[in-house]
Amino acid sequence: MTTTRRTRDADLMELVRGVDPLEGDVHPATDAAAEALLREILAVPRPEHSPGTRRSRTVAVRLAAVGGAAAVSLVAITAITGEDRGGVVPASAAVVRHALAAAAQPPGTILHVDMRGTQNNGDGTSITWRDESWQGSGAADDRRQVETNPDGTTAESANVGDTEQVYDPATNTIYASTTTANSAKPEAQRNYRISPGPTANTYVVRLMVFRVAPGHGYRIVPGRGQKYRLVVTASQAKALKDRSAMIKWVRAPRSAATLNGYRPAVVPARAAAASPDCSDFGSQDYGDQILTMLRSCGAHLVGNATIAGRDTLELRSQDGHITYYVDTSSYAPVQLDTTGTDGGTSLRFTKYELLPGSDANEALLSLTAQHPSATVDRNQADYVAAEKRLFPNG
Amino acid sequence: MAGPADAHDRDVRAAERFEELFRRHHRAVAAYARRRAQGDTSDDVVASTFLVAWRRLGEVPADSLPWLLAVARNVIATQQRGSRRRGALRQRLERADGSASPSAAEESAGRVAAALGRLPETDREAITLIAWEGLRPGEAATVLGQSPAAFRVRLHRAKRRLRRELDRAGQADPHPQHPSVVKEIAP
Repeated sequence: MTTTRRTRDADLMELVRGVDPLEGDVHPATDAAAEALLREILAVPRPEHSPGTRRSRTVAVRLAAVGGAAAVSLVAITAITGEDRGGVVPASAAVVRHALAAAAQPPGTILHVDMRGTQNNGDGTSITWRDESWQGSGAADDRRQVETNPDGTTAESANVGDTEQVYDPATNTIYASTTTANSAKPEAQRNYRISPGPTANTYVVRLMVFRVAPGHGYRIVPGRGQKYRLVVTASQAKALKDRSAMIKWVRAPRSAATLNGYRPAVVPARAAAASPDCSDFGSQDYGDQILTMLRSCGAHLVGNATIAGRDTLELRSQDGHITYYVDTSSYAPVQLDTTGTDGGTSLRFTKYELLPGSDANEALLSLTAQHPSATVDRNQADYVAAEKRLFPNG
Repeated sequence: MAGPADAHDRDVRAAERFEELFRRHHRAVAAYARRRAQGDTSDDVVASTFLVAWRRLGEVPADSLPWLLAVARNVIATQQRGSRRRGALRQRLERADGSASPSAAEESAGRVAAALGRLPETDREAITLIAWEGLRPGEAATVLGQSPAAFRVRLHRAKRRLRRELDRAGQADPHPQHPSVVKEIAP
């Protein structure tokens, strides 16, 4: 009897499914429209919650029409019971939420960034560079970038899946690595020697790095391989000795002082393991830097500023080491300034836009699509030679 | 005592949690609203639903979709009370029976839709939450504000009423030639 009942139930429910008004229908709201709605809601102040009195209230909120199906006019919500003690989230927090939403990259989109960087080395010298990149957000996270060096030369490279590619315009050749790039990022290091430094209250940390496969990263091996010298303060040296700090390889602008685009930095051990270090802000890339600053570094609104003729809102980290400027209308990144013990870095974004994941835009991630007439060379030795030639500084 | 930094961190964590909630369930809530809301008001229902979730984030349970759909259901009910209109879904379902010169399949579907439209709203909601939204009975119970046991009883009765309506329309079963569907199997 149970069998019969189940069969009849299943058929009945199948009949009902057959009259689903949305059967075979795709929701018309685009991802962009949903993103716009998300941003609008995040901009609405939340009441602070407390176990105190409850009362009903009427809330009328205008969710601005952003476009397409997400255009939402006046929305009146009646009789929403909330726990409200009258507190209002500071405007600063709303700006931070806006900025977070504007900097985040939704799945299925391509982030196009054109950025000019300046690094002051703290000794009166500085280096500048330009980096234009297209970053996918799918499973493969493919990326293509064109780096313009201080001397005006450009170098184009891409990450396709687990492999790296570089493009040499002189030979119209794409050199593709045949090994994976997963080991390209040197991780935290605990093996080093500390000795008195060149000036008072300084120490020298000598690292030993061993290049496992040229062009494919570094492995830290004590006592052998390439030496790397890092000057630190007395307090940093003390922290390294008592293990409250550690050496971590962080992304840095390519220069003679970097290894494969990384440099060693002294970071608090706990921060390196569990949370970002906002006092020595040399993390992976500008996208991570921005999100980390907004999420974890006590970012707050300072005021308005004009950057390269653009009206911006100025946000600053709690320790004051990071200043981030966003467009007053779109909250898109305009400039990210970080200062540290050894100078500072300023990244100015002339373009920071999300592109939909169409076939035409996916092609922006690919060197072969951008250079269809180029020869593809998959010889590992040729790739290594090309990388050395095109990226002489590492 | 919590300082400004704590409040800030709490605020940012809330934003992250809400963003995850929104991305995970936006399509399901939008589909629910489109099936039931009047005309082009489904976008308003979705916006209102997530706005409530944002303001009451601390009350949103871990199994959040039923909670969101319950809010959406209340928002739609408020809309319909305000406009003194019957439910869009019911209107749509009732209209399905009156199409001109339908094919056999359309006629069959039209009768199912019409039978569904004649059910009391709570019965129809019990069935469609399972069939259209793909919820489990326990989740559908949350949407309707009922205990799982009470919901099972309601669902059972709702199906019985729907069968009765279909019987009246000569559509009691999609495969009347199949004996296992028509007759009870003796234990």
